[in-house]
Amino acid sequence: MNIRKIIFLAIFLAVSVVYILSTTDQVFMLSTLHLIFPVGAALIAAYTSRIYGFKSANNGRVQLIIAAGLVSWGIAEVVGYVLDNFLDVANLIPRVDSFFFLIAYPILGMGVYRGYVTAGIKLKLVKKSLLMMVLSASALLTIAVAYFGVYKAYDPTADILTNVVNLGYGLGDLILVVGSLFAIVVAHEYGDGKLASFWKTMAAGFFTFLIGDTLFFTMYGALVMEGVKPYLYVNLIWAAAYMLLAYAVLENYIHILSVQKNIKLQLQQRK
Amino acid sequence: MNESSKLQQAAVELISKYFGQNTAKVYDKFFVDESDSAIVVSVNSILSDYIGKTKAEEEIKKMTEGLTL
Repeated sequence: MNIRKIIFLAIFLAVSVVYILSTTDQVFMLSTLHLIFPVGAALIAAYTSRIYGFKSANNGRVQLIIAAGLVSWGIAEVVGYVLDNFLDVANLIPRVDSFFFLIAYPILGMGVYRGYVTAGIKLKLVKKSLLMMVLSASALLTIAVAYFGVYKAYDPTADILTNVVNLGYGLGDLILVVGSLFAIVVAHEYGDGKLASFWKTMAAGFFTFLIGDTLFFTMYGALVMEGVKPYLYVNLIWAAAYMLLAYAVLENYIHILSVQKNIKLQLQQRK
Repeated sequence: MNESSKLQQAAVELISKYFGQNTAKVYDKFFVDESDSAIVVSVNSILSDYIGKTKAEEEIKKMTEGLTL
């Protein structure tokens, strides 16, 4: 286990302990702590795009699109934090942070799709067992998300805008279902390479996010938002999802940086 | 364009595909004084580490197609 993995797990463990020991009047502290991973993921992803070169095509473009999605989620978390803690508009619908949350889903979906195209995958050559597993998981997750995130999210007593936003999250999760399964297929294409680890960790992050979202829809989201235990722990699942996404982009960033440093050093030594 | 510079260009394009234009620019300078076989070995090394041995071999095969090395 590398040192970065240990640090990430230690931070997550510390955040989890704080959550478990916290009392209901410490919602502000918890929401501040919650920002660590989404903001971290957004910053690292943006830096990764920078070292690839913003005008890069193929994998560099994929990283840029994924960075845009993670930055959008990072902004959503920060805006939501400000709305909840500093402005008296916590229950205003639609919330500005919803826009940034919702727009990230198709962006991330596009990023994964571009990753699939860049990998030049020939479906005929993908193992049938992997395809079956991916399709079965896809069907199960789609049913769960469609039921809880779309069907149950519709509230006939609420206004159109509220329903559009709520259904938007459900549809976003459906994009994430497809995206995470595509990410697994892409990871498989890269075998034992570092890029395979990136896609596997991204898929794990998306799956964890889906679990958080589905629990939020099934466990009375208002109680999660108010910080009532045990509903509050759904936030920890989202924190874990952001942690996985942050770790995926960090490992990729470090690898590309080391490749660049190594070749620059060789070039210098030659002079 | 001779075969050697064609190979160098193809190698830089392949590096750009996976590592982005910034990395490709540095490799472009690095490959100037490298032999064809050294370029292929160098590309194979960084690609195998990043996209796996099988995919790297597939990409290098495509890269060298039509070139006389």
